[in-house]
Amino acid sequence: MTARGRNWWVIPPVLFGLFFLLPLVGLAWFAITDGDVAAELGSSTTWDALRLSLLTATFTLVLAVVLGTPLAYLLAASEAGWARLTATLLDLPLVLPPVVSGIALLTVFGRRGYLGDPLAEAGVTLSFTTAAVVLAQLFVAAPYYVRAAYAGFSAMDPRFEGVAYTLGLSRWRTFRSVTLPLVWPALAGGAVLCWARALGELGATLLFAGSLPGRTQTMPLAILSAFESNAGLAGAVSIAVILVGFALVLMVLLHRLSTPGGAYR
Amino acid sequence: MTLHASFQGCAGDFAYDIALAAEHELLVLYGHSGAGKTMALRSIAGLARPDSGTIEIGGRTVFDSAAGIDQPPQQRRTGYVVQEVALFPHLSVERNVLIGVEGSTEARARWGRLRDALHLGGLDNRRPHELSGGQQQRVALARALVRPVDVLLLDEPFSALDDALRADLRTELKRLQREFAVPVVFVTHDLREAHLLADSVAVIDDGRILQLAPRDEVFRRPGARRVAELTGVRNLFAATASGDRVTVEGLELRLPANGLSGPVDLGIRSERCNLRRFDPDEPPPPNCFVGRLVEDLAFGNTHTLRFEPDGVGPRIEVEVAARPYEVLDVPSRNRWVIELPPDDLLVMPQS
Amino acid sequence: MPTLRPRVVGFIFLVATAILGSGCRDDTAIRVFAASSLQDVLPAILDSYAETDDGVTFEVQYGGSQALATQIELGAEADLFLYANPQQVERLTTQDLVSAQRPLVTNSLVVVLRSGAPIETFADLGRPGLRIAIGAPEVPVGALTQRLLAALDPALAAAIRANVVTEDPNVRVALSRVDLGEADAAFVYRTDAATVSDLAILDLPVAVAPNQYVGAVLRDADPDAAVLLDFIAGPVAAPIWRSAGFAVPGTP
Repeated sequence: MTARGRNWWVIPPVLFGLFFLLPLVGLAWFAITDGDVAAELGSSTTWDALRLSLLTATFTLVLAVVLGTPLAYLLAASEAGWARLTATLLDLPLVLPPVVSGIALLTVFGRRGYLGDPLAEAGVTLSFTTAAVVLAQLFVAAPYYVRAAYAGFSAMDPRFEGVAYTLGLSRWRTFRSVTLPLVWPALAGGAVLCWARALGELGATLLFAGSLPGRTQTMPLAILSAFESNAGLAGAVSIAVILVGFALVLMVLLHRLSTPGGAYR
Repeated sequence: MTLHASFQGCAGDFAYDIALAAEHELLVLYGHSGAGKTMALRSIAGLARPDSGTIEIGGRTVFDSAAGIDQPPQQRRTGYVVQEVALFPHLSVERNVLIGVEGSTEARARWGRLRDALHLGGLDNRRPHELSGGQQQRVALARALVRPVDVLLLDEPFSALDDALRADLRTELKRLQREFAVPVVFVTHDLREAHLLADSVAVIDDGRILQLAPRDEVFRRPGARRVAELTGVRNLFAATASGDRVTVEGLELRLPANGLSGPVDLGIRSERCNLRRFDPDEPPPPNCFVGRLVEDLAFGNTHTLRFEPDGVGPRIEVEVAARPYEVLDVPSRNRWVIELPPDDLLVMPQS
Repeated sequence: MPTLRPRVVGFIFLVATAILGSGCRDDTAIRVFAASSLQDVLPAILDSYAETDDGVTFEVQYGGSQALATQIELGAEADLFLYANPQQVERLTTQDLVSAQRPLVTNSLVVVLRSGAPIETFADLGRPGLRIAIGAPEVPVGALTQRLLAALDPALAAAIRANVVTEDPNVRVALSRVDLGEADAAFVYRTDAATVSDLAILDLPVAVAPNQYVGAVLRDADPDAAVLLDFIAGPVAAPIWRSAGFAVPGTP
């Protein structure tokens, strides 16, 4: 230790770590001392919101993966200008305030939106439905997944696939057996981000889907409502702690998944 | 098994026009980086698509722009090995080798043979990162050969290995090539490697094949000044030929009849020049001229000497092995007689 | 640990209301916390006050009454608090954070209609298939709406409840549903309805107690805060209140 000198450099990272840790501890402590987590756990509104949140965020993730993976692959494989432009445009929802994203969705899918009339004629109503919650989350959260997947596919040496083709592996088999395992860490990381962002989505959901317990009121909206109630901050924080608790457990599971036992290196 | 390929195309602003042919032999595709070697291999493997031309592998037409034939890489029966991405890092040795042919007993039998031939016993369940660099390349070779292929395409497969390993792998590659009777196209930018491995050499430069011929012919009779340059001829001059005489910088040299006359390019390898003691009383013999030693660079077992002409003759670089260097005691004198033997003179049409 | 709470609150608050109070701290300014429903009327009143007292400056932060009350509770410094939710901010009084308070104005509930909505009378709101936006029961406008529904014919109230598609945490969000055409009708304050020009308005069939706004001078406030509150409750401000749709007690 003395030979190497004191490791002063560790102080900033430790402080930075505390900057994230302490507010979470504060939140938990506040919920324990001032809030009533037990009462909120017993409340059907909370459970409805939690179930809706987990359901919609997971469905959002599934859609993001199923639709976003081919898109990211396509964008990464193409060197054309439009591909880079599209990749940049996909980042925009990360910058947009979620409320603006909600309005943007309304301009297309809303009753008076560009697709409002065709959708109405097809008998599809989106706003104020659970489907709208998923769409709002997808718009806001899927870019996190697509971005990570795009980075993963771009970083992979395309010659791995070339070699696989010469070995007689079909495109699909190559994607499944070679490409996917190689970019898996990137995809899994993006999936965790996407799911977490979907779970925390508030603004776009409120604007595009509304807030009705059991149908469109997700945890963040329930927290917002609780904040306005007599229970006030304490109620809001109690629900927030439940959300954070569930998210923590599921994130740990997802992280396990993202670094499987079969990982190389 | 044969390979015939002649194709043209553009990649970005790089235009290429490649013509290659190989029988049961090891063809080295030799050129500097950026010359288009990898592009040529990728086109043969079906991973890049030329604009026009034909490619035939083992008698099958796999690409013919005029006939609209463009087989995907999966159907071309090529074995393709690339140094940097030799193996799939997430798969074990066995799964790397047998990927795509898992159910085939024939492939398993070949894998058994290759495993012995390439000294890969006991490594089946290792991951690539647990193997040495040489083992990785051997596994990659085995994987390329475990299915019946009509041509083996190797893109600088040994470039990251140390010299001893490369020597071993070259020997094994030659043996495998004979055993499996498959044409091999071996890409390298290493002149020594080209020399050691090749049956034939194709010299590629700026997207074009400059010369394709048996190895010794390429090294002894380069078809053009650029080929001579690329194959390590250090002494190259503009000269004038006339019958069995050629004049360079006022010095007349004799050489075997070659049918060229007028302006030519004249070359001689530095190790082919002879050095003799200068005796002022004796006129220089034919094909000799007097030079002053201006530079002496020691490379361990050889010396590279540079001479300025003393009278007529070109500036010249002479490579002398350590032993004759000591016997002649080169540093003791300044003026030397340099002999350019007729049979070692390379005469090429001027480019 | 308690010092961390304002940060937590601030974060939730900012996300929740998307209203940002910003600017440099000015020691001489009167710091006013005001319910967000006062956003359109308060600046005019404060301008009018500034004419009587040259050089006075204000720092106004708008937000949900409840959110602002929580901030004050957690130590945010303010001189004057104008709020819309007397029951819910009682805590401030019990915690001895308020030195004086007085009722100001009231705001009543109306129903705004999307242009082209198939609604003629209040009873039409019960027609199946309509989409109605109301405030969340936790926010004042939502609480008022619940009181109204409780006072209605139970069958009609049930039919209207069945048409509710969203319980918004903010009255302006509910209003925007109709403005954007997503909902056919919304229960909002008359003052909010007044901010959008071309919306049809239905009056209520039964009378319910309107929402009462209260002004409170907070403990340790700038002495000018009490003067300002008197002005806000006084005759000069009354016409400004009325033009914005508020009802001023003691005047027609």
